[in-house]
Amino acid sequence: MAADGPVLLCYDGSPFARAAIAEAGRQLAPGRRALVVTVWQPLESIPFYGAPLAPVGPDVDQGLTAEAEGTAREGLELARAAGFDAEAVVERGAPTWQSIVQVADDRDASLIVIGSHGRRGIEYALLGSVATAVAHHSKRPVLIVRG
Amino acid sequence: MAGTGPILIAYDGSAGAREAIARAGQILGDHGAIVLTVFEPIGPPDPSHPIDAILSAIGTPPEEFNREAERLARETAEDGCRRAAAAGVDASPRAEPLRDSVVRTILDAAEATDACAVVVGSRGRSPARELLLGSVSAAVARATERPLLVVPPPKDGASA
Repeated sequence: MAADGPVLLCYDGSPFARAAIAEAGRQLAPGRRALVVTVWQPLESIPFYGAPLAPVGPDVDQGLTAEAEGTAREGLELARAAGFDAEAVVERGAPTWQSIVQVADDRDASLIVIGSHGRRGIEYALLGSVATAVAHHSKRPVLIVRG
Repeated sequence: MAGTGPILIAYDGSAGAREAIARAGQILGDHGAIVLTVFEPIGPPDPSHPIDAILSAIGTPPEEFNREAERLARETAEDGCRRAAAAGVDASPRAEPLRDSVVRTILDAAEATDACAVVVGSRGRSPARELLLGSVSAAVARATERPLLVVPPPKDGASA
């Protein structure tokens, strides 16, 4: 993996993701190339008590894509404000950690930066686990930033 | 919450830890660093314990073993510092006796030094844990409020 590959900044619009981008800006050398990645999950991939949802129409997917693109643009602004030479990508996929690991591999990222709640009840079970799963599965260094 | 102190690098001399040191400077830049090696002291002799009974019989007091354990830990930390220097990071060694757990000891050291970030290898010494995110790195990830850099082992598992 190239040491000069881009820094992958995971951004889902949460305060934790914001904190992660800001902290990455403080920790890393300025002017580094960065890729802001926002992952959105197709609705049918989210189980509701074990019952799969009926297939959703393309209009729902389009709505989710548009929302993810808005989130990614916001992340892009934050990344540029934090001193990164950044671009944004939107990925559709599930589970989230897998998409992140995949994009990092595709783009030969030198580092993955991801925010985390740490251990706070159900929030930890849901969101903290994305950071842990990425660190677990990726072959690349992962910077976990506590929001 | 990030501290204003140096980067704290947990180092046990394993291939994963060597990789963590080599990459830390490259990734985080030169904030200055502390290379921390944890050692396990032995407590006061317990005559009912076979090892303690043997030690008492051969006349080597536990303090001497503890001094030796600390010396070895410091040597390991110094080796880590040389590797850090080779990676462009100015680091100082620190040997800490185990308190409760390796994780607790790392977290306490991060508090004591107000570390701006903590660095751990994702795989430590135990081969039995190769398939899991190292239990130490996973537990530190859950417990620390500080930015945590988790570095995977080198691809071929060879020494760096």
